[in-house]
Order: sequence, then C-alpha cells, then structure tokens
Amino acid sequence: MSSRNDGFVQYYFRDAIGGFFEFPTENARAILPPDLQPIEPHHGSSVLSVMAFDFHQSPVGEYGELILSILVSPRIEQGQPWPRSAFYPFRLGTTTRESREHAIERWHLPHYMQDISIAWERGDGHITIHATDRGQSIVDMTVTEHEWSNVEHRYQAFMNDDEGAYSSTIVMQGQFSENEEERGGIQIHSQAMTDLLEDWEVDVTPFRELWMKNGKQTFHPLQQLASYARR
Amino acid sequence: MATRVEAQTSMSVSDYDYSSFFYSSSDDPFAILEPYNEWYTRAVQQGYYLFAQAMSTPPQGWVHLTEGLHHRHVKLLNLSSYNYLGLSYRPEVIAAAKAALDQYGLGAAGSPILSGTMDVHVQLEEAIARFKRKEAAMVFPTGYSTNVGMISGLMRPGDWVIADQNAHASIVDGAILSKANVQFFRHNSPAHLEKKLRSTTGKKLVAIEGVYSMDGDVCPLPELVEVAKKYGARIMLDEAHSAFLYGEHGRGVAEKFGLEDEVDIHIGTFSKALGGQGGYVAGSKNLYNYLKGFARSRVFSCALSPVVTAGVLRSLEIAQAEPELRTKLWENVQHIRKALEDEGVDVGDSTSQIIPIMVRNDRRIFELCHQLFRAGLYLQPVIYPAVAKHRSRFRVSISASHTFDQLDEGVSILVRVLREEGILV
Repeated sequence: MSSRNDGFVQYYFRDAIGGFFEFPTENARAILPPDLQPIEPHHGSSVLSVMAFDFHQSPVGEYGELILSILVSPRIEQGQPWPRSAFYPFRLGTTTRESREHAIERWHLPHYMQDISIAWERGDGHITIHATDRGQSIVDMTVTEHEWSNVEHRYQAFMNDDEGAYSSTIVMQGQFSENEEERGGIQIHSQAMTDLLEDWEVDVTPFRELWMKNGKQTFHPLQQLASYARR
Repeated sequence: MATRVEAQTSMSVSDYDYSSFFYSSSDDPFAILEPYNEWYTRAVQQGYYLFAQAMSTPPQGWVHLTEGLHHRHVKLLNLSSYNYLGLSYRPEVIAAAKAALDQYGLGAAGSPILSGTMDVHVQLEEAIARFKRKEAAMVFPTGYSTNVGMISGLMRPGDWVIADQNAHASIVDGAILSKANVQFFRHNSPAHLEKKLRSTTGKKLVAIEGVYSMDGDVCPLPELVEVAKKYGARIMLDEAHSAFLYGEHGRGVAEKFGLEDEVDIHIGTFSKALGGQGGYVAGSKNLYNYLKGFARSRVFSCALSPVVTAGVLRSLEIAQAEPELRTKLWENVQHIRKALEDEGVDVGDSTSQIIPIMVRNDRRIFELCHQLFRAGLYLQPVIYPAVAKHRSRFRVSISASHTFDQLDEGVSILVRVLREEGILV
C-alpha cells in the first residue's frame, strides 16, 4: 500500500442525483475486475448506479458530470469509519476537458473522451437530467424527493487503469433525500458512452433514488492497492 | 416538502446490512469480526435484526416467546409459523414420535449410507414414493440439504443450472457447489427462461418452486415446462411450500396442473405442511440410486432422527386421510385474503397460504415489527438477503389450525399499525 496523493480535494455542487438500478450480475462481472464482488440485491442481479453532479466550484471550475458505476462490497477497515456503500465507476462523462483531464490524472477514473452536455430540469418534487453528446442522447434520468436532512456520508470508490488499482474515500455533505418509492426512472440510450450497457437488461425504475443539494464532495487521498483483495 | 435539519455525522446502523460486512481490508480473516460485531450489537440495541426470539410453546395460534429487545415474556397471536396443516402438535403425531423415541432412542447415530438407516426411514421413503406416485423417494435431514445434495450431486462443471430469480438459497447454494454454470431468469417469466435456455448448450437443469416462500405466488408450471422441454432441459420442482397442500390429493402444484410426469425431479420438505423436519427427492429409481452415492449433503450427514421420522410418517398419513385439513386451510386463506384486500393491504402477487405484507422499506420494517409486537401480533420481518434489498415485507403464514376469530384479530392489529405508521393510507 502506498499513498499516491497527499491532499484532500473538494468539489461543491448545487445538485447531485443518483439512481440504483438492477441489472444482470453476469454483465456486472464482465465489467468488474475479478476480485471486486458486485452487491447482489437479488439472485443474479447487481446494481448499476447512475449519478449526475452539477458542480459550481472545484479545482477545475464549474462543470457537470455523469457517472456510471457498479455497487461492490466495501472493504471494512478496523478502527476506521465504515463506508456507506462502495462503487466501481466504469464510465464517466464530463462537460469540460479540464475536469476530465483532472479526474483521469488525479483519480484514475475511466472517462468518455468527449465533452457531454447535461441539462437539468428542476421540477416540483423531482429533478430530471438529460445527458447528450452533440445532440445524441446518452441518459435521461428522473429522481424524486423525499424527506430532507443534513448528512455526512462516507463512500468508497475503487478505480483501476493500466498503472494499477486504487481506492479513495469520498465524503458527501449536504441536504440529502433518499427513497425507495420507485417513482423515478431512466432511459439509457444506445450511444458510445453507454456501449458497455448496450443490449443489457437494466431496470428502468430505480429501487433507490438519492438526491443531495447544496453539497460538498471531498475526495480523500488516493490509495494505490496491491490488489482489490488486499490493501 | 419540509426540511428536517438533523446532523447525521455519526454512523446510522440502518445504513448498513449484511452486505456491508463481506470483506475487510486485512489479511486476517478475523479482522471483519470486530467491525461486524460493533454494528450488529448497536443494531440489535436499537431494535433491528431481532430474529431468533425464543418461543416456549408449540407453533400454534397463540404463542409465548421472549422478545429480543427488552427480553420480556409475551403472549402473541402467531401468524408466522409454517405448520400449514397444524400437524406439528397433533396428539397422534406426538404419540408416534414418543413411541419412536422408546423404540430407537434419540438419534440415528450414523450416516444413512452406513449405520444410520432404520426401518422407519425406509418406511417414510416408501410412503413418500407412493404418495408422489414415483418409483422412489430419498429422505434428507433438512430441506436445505435436499436441494444442495440433489443439485450438486447431479450437475457438473460445464453444465447449466437455470433457476428462477426468487429460488430458495438452497437451490442457489446447490448450484454453486456443483460448479455448473448458474443463470437466473426473471421470476415466473417463461419468456426470460427461454432467453436463457437459448444461449446455453449441454446439460441443463431448470430449478423452480411450486409456491415461492417469500412471495407466496405459484409458478406458471405449464408454460415453464413447455419452454424447458423445448430446449431439452430437465425440470426440478421444489414443492416445499406446496406439497401436501395443492392438487386434488395434495400432491402439490405438479398435480394441480396435471404435470406430475413432466417434472423430472420432485422436491419437498417435511417442515412446512407436515410440521416436522427434513426433505425428500422423489423421482426415478435410477435417480435414487445415483443420489445415494453422490448427494454428499446426505451421505456425510447423520440421518434424520428416527423420532422426527416417525412423527413425519404419521403426519403424512393424517394429511392423506384428512383432506378436510386442506379444505380448512384454503377457507382460512380465502378469509384472511378477503379481509386484507378489503382493507387495501398490499399483499403482492400471493395466491397461497403465504401472504406477504409488502412494506418495501428495509429500515422502517423493524419499527413496524415492534409496533406489532406491542399490539400483540407475532409477524417476522423479512429483509435482505431473504428477499431483495428493496422488497422488505412481513410474511403471514396461514395454518388450517387458525380460527376465523384469530385471523380477524390479526388483520385488525395489522391494519391498525400499518395505518398508524402511514404504510396503509
């Protein structure tokens, strides 16, 4: 184990929304490194997490981000706070080149290499995003609100690239709403950013919807791992 | 919507479940124990995960148990136990078990393939084979070991086990242990089964259940059989929750649909309708002989206790001789279903004696459980991993031994609590 970066990096956002969607475990395993295990809420079903951020302040300015991840089993460390969930982000899209280069260099996150556009529609009790690339639809997702509370949640992210395997703790602070009312929805379009999901059977209704407002995302220093199985 | 400002910087136990504690970051396998214990202890203290609350009475309409939060002894109306025909405490069954205790002693004292087989085991196997109209039946010590032993005994690496997504853990574990390829099709979906079968080659076993234990719905057996046959797959039907209940003679869902000969492997348990313990595989004599050598969960377990075996044998005789028990069960099911539906309770897709009360909130279900306890009703919360993470529910199990008054009282308590807690509008 070695520390790659020393600093904590903070990103401030107006809205961050997410949906958890069941999709086949065989498809999740095709994306995941072999020693990361998908969370299976149901036999044969894993969880696709689709998240979108509307950042207004960051080391690379204002930008939007769309993240496709798979929920995986966290690594619990004795004496440390436990992550609420763990993710393996397998495809990110951003609205600016600077934010993309920053995330690739600093966090080794796998990116779709075009600038995408994310349109936010803030409605009464719900919020919708339309992610596109040069007019071509990528993802449309709606998340609904529930009870709001101020929270600080800790998550764990696993990344890998040609240089190795990594993890980082991510702390999210802000006004938070979460529900399992199954009122939201998603449409994933056949497009280069979603090509790993083409012809796959992703549920169109999220079993969990998350929404955070006026929040801060803090990346803890990146950890380089010998493997995902050991730290 | 009102904003509730509440600092939540400390751990909330409800943010975690068993899936959070599969792995630690250490090389020591014990490193996960302390964090898990910290979470589990706090969860129990806060009223979560109060399972295995000890009962001091038979699983009848009213039970006495020690509740887990404050360790109080309480008397509750019981809508949680299987015991679908009320046989576990029938005097004749108890007498048969007592006689067996006198004759054989407590245990079988050996594996069934060595010294553990007693004449009462042979009698039960023969009785089950006759009842199921199959050449042979094999008795296993538990329902779990039945599926594990059957599947892992028959299927091999490179084969395919294709199971319903809601299949019991014993089917899943048997498939994993067999090292065959495992696929799941969407619950009760013949179309999705066909999609899975179309992409497989080689030996295939389709594993389904007659009645699903958490949803209480019946499998569409004719359509599933048609698809399986089309692709040359063998069919295994687990009737743990439907044998002795469904069909004109109680032989199960296969009898109900007239497909007993189309199903290749019939599985059942003695712990549900017969009120005992153990399981069986019924099928051909060839299958019996093969499993005798290859069903390792049976080969390497002590045989079912002769005391239980004798009790189960007597339960089977009663179940066959008293069809009015099934009639009473279905009257009870119809009675409570109507009462629940009249009140607008969400019971999912159930059509059986298992009726899920859908809560769909993994966190609130424990609070509701305490409310029900306080109101005098014993219902168990069912959460992940028994059901999908977002499909939490209470499971109502109806018995022929329930009275209409008991069922009405149970519905009354349930509806009152669901309304008070805003689950039922």
